[in-house]
Amino acid sequence: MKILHCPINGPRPISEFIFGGEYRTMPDPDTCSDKDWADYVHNRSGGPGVKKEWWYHAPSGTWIIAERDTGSDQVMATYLPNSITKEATHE
Amino acid sequence: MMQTKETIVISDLSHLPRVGLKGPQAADWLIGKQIKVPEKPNACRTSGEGTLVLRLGLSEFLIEGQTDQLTTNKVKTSLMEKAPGIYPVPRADTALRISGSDTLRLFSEICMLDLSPESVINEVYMTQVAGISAILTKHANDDFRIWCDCTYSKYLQTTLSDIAKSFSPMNVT
Amino acid sequence: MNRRLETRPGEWIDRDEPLKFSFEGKEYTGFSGDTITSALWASGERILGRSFKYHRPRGILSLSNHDVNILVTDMEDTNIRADVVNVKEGMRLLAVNTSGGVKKDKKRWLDRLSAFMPVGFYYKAFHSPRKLFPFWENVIRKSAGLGEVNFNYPRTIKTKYHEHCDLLIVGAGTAGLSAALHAAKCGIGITLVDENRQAGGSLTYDCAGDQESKTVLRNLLDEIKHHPNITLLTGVYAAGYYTDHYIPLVREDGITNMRAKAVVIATGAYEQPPVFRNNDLPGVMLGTAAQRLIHRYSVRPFDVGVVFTANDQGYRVALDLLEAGVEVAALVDLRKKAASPLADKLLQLNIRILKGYCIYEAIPTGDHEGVKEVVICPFDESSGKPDTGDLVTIACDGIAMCAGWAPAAALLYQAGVSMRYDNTVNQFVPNKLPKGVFAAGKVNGRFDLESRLKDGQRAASEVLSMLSETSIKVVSEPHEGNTPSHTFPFVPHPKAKNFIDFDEDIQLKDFINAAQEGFDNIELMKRFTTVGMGPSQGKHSNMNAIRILAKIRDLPVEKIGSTTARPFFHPTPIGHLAGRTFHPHRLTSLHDWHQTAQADFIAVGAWLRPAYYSIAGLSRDDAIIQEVLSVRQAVGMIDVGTLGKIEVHGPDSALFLERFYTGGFANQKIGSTRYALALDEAGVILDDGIVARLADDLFYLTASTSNSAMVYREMQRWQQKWQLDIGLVNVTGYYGAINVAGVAARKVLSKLCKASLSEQDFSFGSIIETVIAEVPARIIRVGFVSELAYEIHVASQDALTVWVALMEAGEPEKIRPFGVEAQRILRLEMGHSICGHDTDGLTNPLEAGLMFAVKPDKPFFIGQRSLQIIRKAPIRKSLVPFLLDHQDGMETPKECNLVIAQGDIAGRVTSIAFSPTLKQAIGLAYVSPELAIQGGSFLIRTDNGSLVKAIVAQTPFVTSQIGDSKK
Repeated sequence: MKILHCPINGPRPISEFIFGGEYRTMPDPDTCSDKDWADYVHNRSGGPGVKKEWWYHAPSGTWIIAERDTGSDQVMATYLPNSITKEATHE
Repeated sequence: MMQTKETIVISDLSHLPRVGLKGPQAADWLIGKQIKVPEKPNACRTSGEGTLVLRLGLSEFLIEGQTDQLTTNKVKTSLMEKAPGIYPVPRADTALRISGSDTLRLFSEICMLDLSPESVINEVYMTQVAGISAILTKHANDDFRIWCDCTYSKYLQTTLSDIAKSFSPMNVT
Repeated sequence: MNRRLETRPGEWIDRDEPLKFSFEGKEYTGFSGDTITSALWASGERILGRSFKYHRPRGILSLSNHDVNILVTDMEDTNIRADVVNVKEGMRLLAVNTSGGVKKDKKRWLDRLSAFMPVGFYYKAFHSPRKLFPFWENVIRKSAGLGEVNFNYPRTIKTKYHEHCDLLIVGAGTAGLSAALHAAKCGIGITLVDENRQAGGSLTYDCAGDQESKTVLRNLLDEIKHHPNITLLTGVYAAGYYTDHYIPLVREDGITNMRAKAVVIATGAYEQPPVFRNNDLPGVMLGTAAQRLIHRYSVRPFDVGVVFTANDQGYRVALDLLEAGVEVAALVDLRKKAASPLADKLLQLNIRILKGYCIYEAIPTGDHEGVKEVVICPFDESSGKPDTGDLVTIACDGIAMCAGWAPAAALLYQAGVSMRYDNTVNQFVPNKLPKGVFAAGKVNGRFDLESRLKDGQRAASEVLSMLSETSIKVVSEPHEGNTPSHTFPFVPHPKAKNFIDFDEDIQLKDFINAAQEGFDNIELMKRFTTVGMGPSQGKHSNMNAIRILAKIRDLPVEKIGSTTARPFFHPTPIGHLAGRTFHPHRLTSLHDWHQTAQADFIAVGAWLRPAYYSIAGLSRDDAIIQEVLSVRQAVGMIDVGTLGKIEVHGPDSALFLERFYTGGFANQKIGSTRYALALDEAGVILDDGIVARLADDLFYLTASTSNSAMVYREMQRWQQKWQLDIGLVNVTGYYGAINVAGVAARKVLSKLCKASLSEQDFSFGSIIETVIAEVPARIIRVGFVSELAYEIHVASQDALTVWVALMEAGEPEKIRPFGVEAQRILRLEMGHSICGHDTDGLTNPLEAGLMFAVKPDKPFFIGQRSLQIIRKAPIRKSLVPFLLDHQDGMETPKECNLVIAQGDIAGRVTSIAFSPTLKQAIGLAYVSPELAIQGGSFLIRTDNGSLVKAIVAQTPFVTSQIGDSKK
C-alpha cells in the first residue's frame, strides 16, 4: 500500500487519494489549431518517465501535484498546484 | 481475547452546537472575534473554556461549543454579515467520542494511520475511517473524537458498535 | 506400531495433554502440540494422502508446509495442511482427493495409466469427438482437484488490524533472532514474526546429535525476553511484501497489516529433494523433515534408514537419526570427493559411507505402503549418469534425503530485490536491495551457525544506520567450506517415477518432454509442466526445475532465471483477506420514515433510496403505477435529499460558473434558476443540474446524486487553475430536499408555505427563500417529473418536520410518497434525459439534444473548443423520444436493445417504460440522423430477435392542464 505525501496532510496511504490524470498545460484555445487541440484533449504521453500528476486527497478535498517516475513508481515530489516551492518526499 | 468489562464507550456528541467557515481571511477574522485559532494547519485547541476550534487544512475551521452555544451563535450571527474572503460552511456532522481501554485497538481496525504516538495529541486528521471520510482528533490514547457527514451516522455508529462488541460483550452502546 | 520416543527436552508436545481424534474412520491418540501429521506418524501410519494426478500413496516429505502431500478435511473446512496444523481433541479427519479413502483410493489405477498422461496431455487429448468433452471434463474435474467446498461453511468475521513498527523481522531463526537482539539495544520498536509455532527455525531441529543448537536457541530466547521493545509473534506468517514496507501478517483468526520503517527478511531456505525413482514413497522424506519429527515431536521417522545426501546436511541428519535410535544402514553420498567435517564421527560409529554413489531406485513393499529396500550404484557427477552395472541392494524402511537449498526469497522478489546466482553456495542470493529492505541468514547465502548469527547482526546494524541510530558496522564473511547445494542431484531411470514436484506429480522426463516440445524457457516450462503451480508454489521444486532446465539447455543457471513468486506466501483463506469489509451507506434524514412506510430500498452509489413503497396486496409494478398516477392525477412527494448541492460564493462566482458550465450566468437574475450542463474538455457531457442565484455573489446549485462528488472535485480543480475570488462549499449532506409534484402541488404547499406561490409571484424557473412549517427553506420550481413541482431544500435536521407536515397537509388531496422507480417513469413522460443513463462516456450535447443549454459565444467554457470542432462534422446520432407501436403478443424492448435499419445497427434504446398515464410504452433512443424525423418510425430489435416499430414523438409526452410545456 503505497504512501503518498500530501503537503497539507502529511504521509497517507494511497487509498485516500483519487488519481486525476496527467498535469498538462492547455494550449490557447483561441489560437491553436484543431489538430493541436485534439492532441491536447485525447493524447497522453505513455512512455515511462517523471510525470506531473494530479492527485486528490478525498477526505480533505485537497488537490496536489505529484511528480512521479512512472517507470519505477517513485514519487520525487508533491506540492500544491499553486505553490512554487516543492515538498521533498522521503523515498 | 474476550473481556468481561466495558472497554469501549461511544458517546454521541452530535447535538453540540457547531459552526464552520473557510476562506483566506478566515483565521484573521476569527482572531478579530477574540477566538483563539491553532497556528498550524490540521491542529486543534480550545478557545476559552467552552469552545473547541479545529483548523482543517490551511484555511477552514470547525468551531464546536462544548458547554454552551454562546460562541457558536456569535460566529453564526457574524457570518451573516458577509466579509470578503470568508465563506460560511454549514455543518451537519455526526460527532462521536470514543473512549475506553480498547480505543486504540478499535482504531487499528478502522484506520490505517499510526495513532499511538504522543505527537498525535491535538493534531487534526482528515482521513478515512471504516471506509468513509472523517475528521479525527486525539485527546489521549483512550479518548478520541470523530466527526463525519451526518448521512453516514447510522452506518458509522453500527460499525463501531459491532467492532466494540467483538472486544467485549459489555460494550453495549 | 508406536514410533513415539522418550521425553526429550525442548519437545513441542505436552505429554500431560493427550488428545483423541480420528483419521479415515480410525481412532488415534496424540498430544497437545502435535500436528496432525506428527500424531499420525507417531501412531505408525504411513499412507497419509494421495497425490494430485496419479493418486500415488504419500507420506511425509518436508513436514513444514513446503509440500502438500498430506491435506485433510474435517468436513467443515478443507485442504487443511496436516504438517503444520495442530491436532485438536475430537477432530474427525479424512484425506482429500481420494475416492474410497486414502488406503484404498479407487483412483490409484491412474498411476498405471501414467504413461498416457504425460505433462500437458490434456492439451492434446479430448478434442474429438467434441461432444464427448463435457463427459471428460466431468471425469477430470472429479479426479483432479483437492478438497470439496462446504457450502454451509459458517461465516465468522476475521479481524484485520493496522499496526506500525520501526523494524519488522520476518523469520525468528538464527539470523532473525540475532538481528532482533542487535537492533533492540537502541530501543526501536521491533516486531519479530515466525510462521512456526515456536521461534528458533533450524535451531529447533538441526542438531547433528548434540546439544549445541538447543543451547544457542535457549540463550537467544532468554535474551529476547529482556527486551520489552521486541514483540515476538509465532504461528504467524508474512503473506507478501507490498509497497513502502507494508506486510500483511496472517494469524489464525485474521490479518495484521504491518507498516514498518525497515524490514529484515531472515526467512531461511527450503530443503530441496534429490530425485530418484520412487522418491515419493511413504517413508522417503527430506533430511530436515526427519530432524523435525525427532526434535519437535519426539517421533522416530523409521526403524532402519538409508541417508542419501549430496551435501553435508545428510551427515548431520544421520547423527540425529542415530541419537533417536534409528539404525542407519548406510549413508550414500553423491559426491565422490567432498569430505564432510562430520564424516569421521560417523565412521567411528561404524556407519557405512558410500561416496560417489546414488540411490538408483527405492523399492516399495508389496502393498506399496512403504519402502522395502533401496538399490544403489555408483554415480558419475560429470555426466549425471548412474552406473547400473554395479547395483547394490540395502534393506530399509525409510530414506532421509538431502540435496541442497532454495532461498525462501519470495518477499525479497516482491520488494524488488534483484538476485544473483552465487557459485560458492550454488543458490540465488540478494544482489541489489531497495532502501529499507535487508536480508540475513540462509536466504542471504550464509549457512554456518556463527555466520548466520553474524549476518543477523550485520543486517541490524545496516537498519540502525538507515534509521539514523548509532550503530557499529558489522561485517559478515561469505560462505566457506563445502557448497551447501549440489548442482545436479538427479538420477535418471528408464521407468521414471522420479519426482521433482510432489504437488503436481512432475517427473524428470516431463521436463525433457516439455523442452522437446519447445517449452524450453523457464516461464513456458513452468506453465506447460505446471511445476511450481501447486499449493506449495514451487517451494520444494522450483530450484530443481531451474537446474534441470539449465542442463537441458546447456546454460549456466543464472541464464535461466527464475519465475516470480507472487503473494501469498502460503495459501490464505479468503475470509482472512476480506476481514471486516466496510460497506458504507448514506441515509437521508427521512430514512426511518421511509422504512416505516414499507419502502423497498435500492442502492444508488452509497445512498439507500426508496425504489417504491410496497402496498399489501399489490405487486411491485402495480404499486409503482399507482405512485405515477397519483402525481399525474393529484400530488406526490419524493425524497431527493441525495442530490448534490454546492454553494458558490464570492465576487467571481458568476464568472466561475460561466467557465465551468456551458450556459450563461453572468446576467442571471437574483431569484432565478437555470438548467446547467457541464462538459469535460473533450466536449462530453459530465453532469447536469440547476443553478439558482441567491445574490450577486452567491449561487446555489444542484448536481445529480451519483456525480455530485465528482462535480465538486472538478470545480475545486479548475479553481486551482483559475485562482478566482470565490469560495466553494459542498452542502450535499447539510441540506435535505423534497420534491412535491403534481397538479395539486401548489394547493398543498400553500397550506404550509409563508410566501405566495401564485404564478406571478413564483413562476417556473425561480427560487424563493421562505419558511415552510416554520422551517427556513429554499424552494425551486422544477419541471423534472411534472409541469408543476416544487423542490424544497431545508437543513436535513428539519427535513422530517417538513415531510410529515406535507403528508398531513396533503391528505385531503390524497398525497402519496413515490420512489425512484416512479420518478424514472414520470421524468420519461416529461421527456427528460438522465445524465449517465441516456448519455454515456462519449455523448456530446449535440447528440443529446441539449444544445439549448450551450451559449457558444462566451469567452471560455470547459468543452467549448472541442464543441467547435465537433460541430464541423456531420452529427452521427440523435437522442429522440419515441412511442412504441405496440401489438399484442409482441415482446417489449428493453434498454440497450438496438435500433436496426437495413440490417445494420442504427442506434440503441436508452430509456423505455410503460407509461400508466398514456397507457403505452414510451422511451428515448439514439438513432442515426436519417431516422430522427418527428412522425417517422424506426425498428427496435428485442431480445428474442423480433423487430418492433417505434414512432418518433415530441416531448413532453405528457402535458399538464397548465399547458406551458418548454421542450
